Amino acid sequence: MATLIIPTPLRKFTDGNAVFEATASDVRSLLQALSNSHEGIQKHLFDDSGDLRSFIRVYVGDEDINELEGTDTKIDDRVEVSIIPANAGGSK
Amino acid sequence: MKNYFIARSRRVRSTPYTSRIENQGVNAYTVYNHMLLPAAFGSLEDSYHHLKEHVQVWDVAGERQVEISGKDYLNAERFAAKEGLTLLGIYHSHPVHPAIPSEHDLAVAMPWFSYIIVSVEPEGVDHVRSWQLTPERKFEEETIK
Repeated sequence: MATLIIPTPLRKFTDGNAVFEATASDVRSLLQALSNSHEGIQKHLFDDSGDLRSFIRVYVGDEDINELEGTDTKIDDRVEVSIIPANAGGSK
Repeated sequence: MKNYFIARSRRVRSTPYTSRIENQGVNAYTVYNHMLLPAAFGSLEDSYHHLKEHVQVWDVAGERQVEISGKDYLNAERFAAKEGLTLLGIYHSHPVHPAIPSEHDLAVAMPWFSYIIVSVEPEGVDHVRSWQLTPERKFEEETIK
């Protein structure tokens, strides 16, 4: 089972659980499994065209998937995948 | 477009740097967030040398957004988990601008987090407001006690 770490603000959708586990071979299918099993979380992860929202980062271990193969990045049971909300701001 | 003078008014504010900028011979301003920012010191060549040789606030830095890197956020989450703590939100400032979420703030926000915004004027902190994103991705203000 692949392990996914849920960021604090999204744990309302996972009954407070910080960890989600599912059988998945790549990042996209793991995130999709999370969306399928927790109603309401999908729109905070994916945009209307089904792409990962631009302000969501996903790390496999300590590596940003943008430096790997994006949501096609292969995973196995040994790695920990983390969803990271971009914490950004400004007055504009 | 011709060059015109900028009239002094309540809609255009000086910054803590304005008097020193004027002493340095500014001859054109641009305006960002109602704030006067120098755009030229003499000729184009003079301005180039001025930028190279003096430290000052130019409008090139006026629109910068801030972002906490993914790894820093990851470390904060790991630290909280290890210590049995919960991250409740983040805060950032709006220089010379009200503490109301911007379009950019809305685009990047996560539900349930508290987004505390500090409005800062040249004299110091002006006001603080806190906002939370609903599951429908709209901001609602929270009461700060």
